[in-house]
Amino acid sequence: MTRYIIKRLLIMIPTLLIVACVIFLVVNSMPGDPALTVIGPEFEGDYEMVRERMGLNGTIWERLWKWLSGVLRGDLGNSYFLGDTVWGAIKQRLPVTLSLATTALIFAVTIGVPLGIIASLKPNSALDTTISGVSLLGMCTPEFFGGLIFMLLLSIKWKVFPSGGYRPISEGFGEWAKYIILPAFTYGMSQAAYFARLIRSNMLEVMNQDFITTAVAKGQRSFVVVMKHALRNALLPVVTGIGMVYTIMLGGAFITESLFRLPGTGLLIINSIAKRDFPVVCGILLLISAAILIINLAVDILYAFIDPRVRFGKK
Amino acid sequence: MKKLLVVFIVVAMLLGMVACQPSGGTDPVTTQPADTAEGTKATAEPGTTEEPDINVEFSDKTFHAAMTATPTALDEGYSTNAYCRQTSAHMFETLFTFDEASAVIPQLADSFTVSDDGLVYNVTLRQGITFHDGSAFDADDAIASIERYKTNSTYSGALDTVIVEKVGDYEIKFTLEEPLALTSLLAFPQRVIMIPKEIAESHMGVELDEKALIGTGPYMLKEWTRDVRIILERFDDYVLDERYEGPTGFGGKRIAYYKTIQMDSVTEAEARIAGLETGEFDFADAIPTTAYDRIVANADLALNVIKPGKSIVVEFNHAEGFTMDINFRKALALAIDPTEVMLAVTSGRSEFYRLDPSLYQPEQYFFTEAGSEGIYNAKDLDKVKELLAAANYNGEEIVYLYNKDYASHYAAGVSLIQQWQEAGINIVPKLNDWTTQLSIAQSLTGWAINQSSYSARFDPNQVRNMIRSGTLGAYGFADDKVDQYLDEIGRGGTNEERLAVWEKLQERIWETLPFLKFGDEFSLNAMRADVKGYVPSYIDRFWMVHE
Amino acid sequence: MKQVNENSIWFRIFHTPSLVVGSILLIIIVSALMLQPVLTQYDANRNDFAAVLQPPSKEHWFGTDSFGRDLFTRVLEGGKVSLRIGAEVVVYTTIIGTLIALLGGYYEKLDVIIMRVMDVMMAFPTLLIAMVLAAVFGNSISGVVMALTIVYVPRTVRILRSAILTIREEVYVEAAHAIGVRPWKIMSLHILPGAMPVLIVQETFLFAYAILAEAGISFVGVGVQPPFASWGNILSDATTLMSVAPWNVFAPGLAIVITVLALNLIGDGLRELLDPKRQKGKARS
Repeated sequence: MTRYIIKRLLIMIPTLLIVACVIFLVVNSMPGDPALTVIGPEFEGDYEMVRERMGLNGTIWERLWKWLSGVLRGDLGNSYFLGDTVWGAIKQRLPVTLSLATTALIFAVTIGVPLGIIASLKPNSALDTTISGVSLLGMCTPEFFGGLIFMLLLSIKWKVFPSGGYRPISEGFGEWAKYIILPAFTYGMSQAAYFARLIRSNMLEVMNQDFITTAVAKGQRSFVVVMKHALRNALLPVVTGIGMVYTIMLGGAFITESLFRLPGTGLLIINSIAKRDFPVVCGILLLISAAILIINLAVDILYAFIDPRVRFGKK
Repeated sequence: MKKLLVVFIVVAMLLGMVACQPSGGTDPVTTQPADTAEGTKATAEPGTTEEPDINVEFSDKTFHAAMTATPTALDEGYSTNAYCRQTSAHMFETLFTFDEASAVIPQLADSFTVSDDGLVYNVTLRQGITFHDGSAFDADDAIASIERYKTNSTYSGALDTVIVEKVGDYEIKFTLEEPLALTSLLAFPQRVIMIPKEIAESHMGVELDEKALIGTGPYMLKEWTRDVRIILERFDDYVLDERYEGPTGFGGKRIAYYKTIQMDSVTEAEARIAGLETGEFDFADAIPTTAYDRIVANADLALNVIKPGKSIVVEFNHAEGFTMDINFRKALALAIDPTEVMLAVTSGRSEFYRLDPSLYQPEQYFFTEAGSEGIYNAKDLDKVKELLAAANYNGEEIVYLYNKDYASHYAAGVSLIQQWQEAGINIVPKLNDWTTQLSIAQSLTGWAINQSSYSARFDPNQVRNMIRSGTLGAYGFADDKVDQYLDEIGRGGTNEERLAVWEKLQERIWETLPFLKFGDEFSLNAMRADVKGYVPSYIDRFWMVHE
Repeated sequence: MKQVNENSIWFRIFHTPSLVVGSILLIIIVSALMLQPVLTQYDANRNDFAAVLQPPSKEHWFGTDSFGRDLFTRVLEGGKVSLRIGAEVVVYTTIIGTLIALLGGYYEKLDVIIMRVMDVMMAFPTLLIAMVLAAVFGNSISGVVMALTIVYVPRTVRILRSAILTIREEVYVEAAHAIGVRPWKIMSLHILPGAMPVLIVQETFLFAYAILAEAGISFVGVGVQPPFASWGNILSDATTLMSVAPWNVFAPGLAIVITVLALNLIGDGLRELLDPKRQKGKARS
């Protein structure tokens, strides 16, 4: 077990290095010159000096080397426009994205899992068909369309929630919740649909297995059976699914953040792409990619713990 | 320092603010100091005013402003951003600065003399000025600050060859290789801020960090949390510049009425307006035009239309294609009705634009309509035909670059494309994001017309990088006369002398069309109706506000 | 009456309701897009400042936007772009993905390298990197297609590869090996056809993802740029008009939902039809 984890960690290092190089090269090949944005249409300042100060002089390889050696020392560089280090800028906005993704995940699980269980209790009943239909519709509705509808009803028409913005939790839980609920609900919905469908099909699969049939034959009431046996087995993939969904959510949060103008890392990366703030774009991509690698590893290890059938090192 | 101070304020500029509450008037715009070009010109002499004064005393209160962002830097050599400039202007002072009409006035300089050949400036400094850290300001600090600016600023080019020497404790001498508009260069566009000698010397080539942001201005930095808020506190040992009767522009007698100025970063317009309505904020920056009616209808609030505004322009590619031909450029100009362009920019609301052929707007000292007759706002499709024929134009593709990042650029584009096409010019619109557009424009190939806009300029020196032959902003434009006038203006002289040259230059701009201006677009901000003394500007100054 | 052959492919298709419903929906959408010149007399990019922000009416079925453009026309025009992007992404990922997967299946040494590369590519956050790539390729339609293709190729490769690995163990393939059929021939004649059902199902879902992804990155302003309409950028324009002209939101939004729904139904139906054992929900990404 320990050897497996160490081996996986060792593989992660070269992977991350390659990922970092790819990110830097891709991001820096965007068309457009950030130095021109800095001096603006009125050309205030000396172009060459601005370029030099932004570290845009030199070949792409020299700059890659400089950036990479910084990254290895834990320094993601400085933003061209924010007057802050990349890490500082991300650190400040990370709580917003984490708030959004975590709350959305809570919504997704607390709504999706029970729906999936209910649907699986009586397969092909009217209730099941309705839930399946709704969750399919939920999966097909992009969060920015669902969000716009919620916004239209809950913010503009009924004025229950603000239509955008963010308050940190330090200003009080109530304030924070008022601003985060709508975006998180919006974002959680499509993933709730995913969980509902996942749970339902897992439940059906498990319930058709011998041990459940045996339990029912032994005269146990079906509700107890569901709770005791089926659910426990059906939840296994959900536990690991949560990890995967969380990484997807971290990477996809930018659309919801853009819609609700939540000042998180997603909005930061959109704005940074628009301004060609290369260090910030690289920094966010690198951190999220690293998070994905780590969460994937954690999921694999967790899965191995839960499901003893999985053999390490063998596919 | 006295607790009570009687202070005079330039009321010509603030009349609109005080009177801004709607009094049942049908046209709220008339309550603005709109189009007071003549009146402003009259009071444009440095530090003069004939208007009645208002008595103000110091207060312990906090002025709370909702801005769209916090500054990303407070060291002006490192940012040309308006938030940097406006916050920094509260904290730092310069030897010379601009008054309300963008004319140069002395600030930390007491007086100056220029030699007859214009090559030697002797500047005496005001005495008894202290920095926020308590140390006294003298010639050593001034020289160190200027030397640091020469190394640090991306805009210091013109000052590179200037030699600064100490003559006395409060007197310095500038020796120039060739005549320069030295006082203007020390004032703007990147202000040569005065900081203590030790800090200047330890920050050569290094941005001032929070602890090093020590100036002589009426406010000191108390807290700066990026993207959240910035708090300034009154500097109690600030020495008022009694040469002036009140604050003007970036200088004058700057009275810090409020003990604290807090500027929050409130990105959503709705939240800024809501906070203003509840009284949480005294001031809200960047009000969308759609909120105009809502604010005007509220007697507790006052709306400011910021003038001078943004010049909406297009630039031409002077390095390739038909736009190299002045006949073709003139045809492009005469094909356009600027009113339609500006109406598109402001979604049809005439309060938010002004037809204006001058790069320096009516509120500004260098305003002039010279040369615009018959070419600006003179749509004439027959003449366009003649000019196109003279340019040998036969329907070839003319690429027009615009973007959606700036709503005004996009809207202007929608109108321009239609008008040019109707005039028989085969416009091919190319929409890019702004950064890409700038790069394509710089490449000087594959385009003819480039949509842009200029924020209000202060001094004719600032036009240099935009039209002087060989500069990035000229896009291949080269005209001997333009260069000659620019050099003349760059050589300095009195405000009157420079204005005379500028008029010739503006006239020449209309003759040669390095770029084409359509008009001024105004933006809005709002404040509580009881706020007095505020003068709208795209660089906000809160040291002048009071109750 | 004729005897109904329960094993005939048509019988099975018509007894897969999701496939039938999905196909009908898709046919309606595609024909509406094709018939756009007949259905509307407006130009999708023509500004008409006399008809700004009009609610739905007889003249403008879905209303007009802030430039007075007919929304029905724009949604149809945008649909062509969105569907074209989805279809192109599907075609390119299928071709490239199949080639890579076959190469990996053919040369086992290459397989190791390919899978390492795919692992690296899968480490990136899908939508985010697609947005960055779209910006790199210049915010055009072909740019978005390239970006999404790059992002989705590893998925196709992975799924195809695992199918190929399973089939490779089958008796008939082993037999072909034994009688000396050349490996490349085995690949194309025996293994690939066996993997086809999996590929078809996967690419149907991918069509839906690609449409959602395009809409998402165009929505945040990085994907397809005006004057080209796409469902994503029409919705993006609509966000600023929410309080004054909410009808701007519904038409493009519903168009996305219905199309993606149709494709998902078809995908589910195909899976049922082609591979009845595998019936699991899929994660959106």
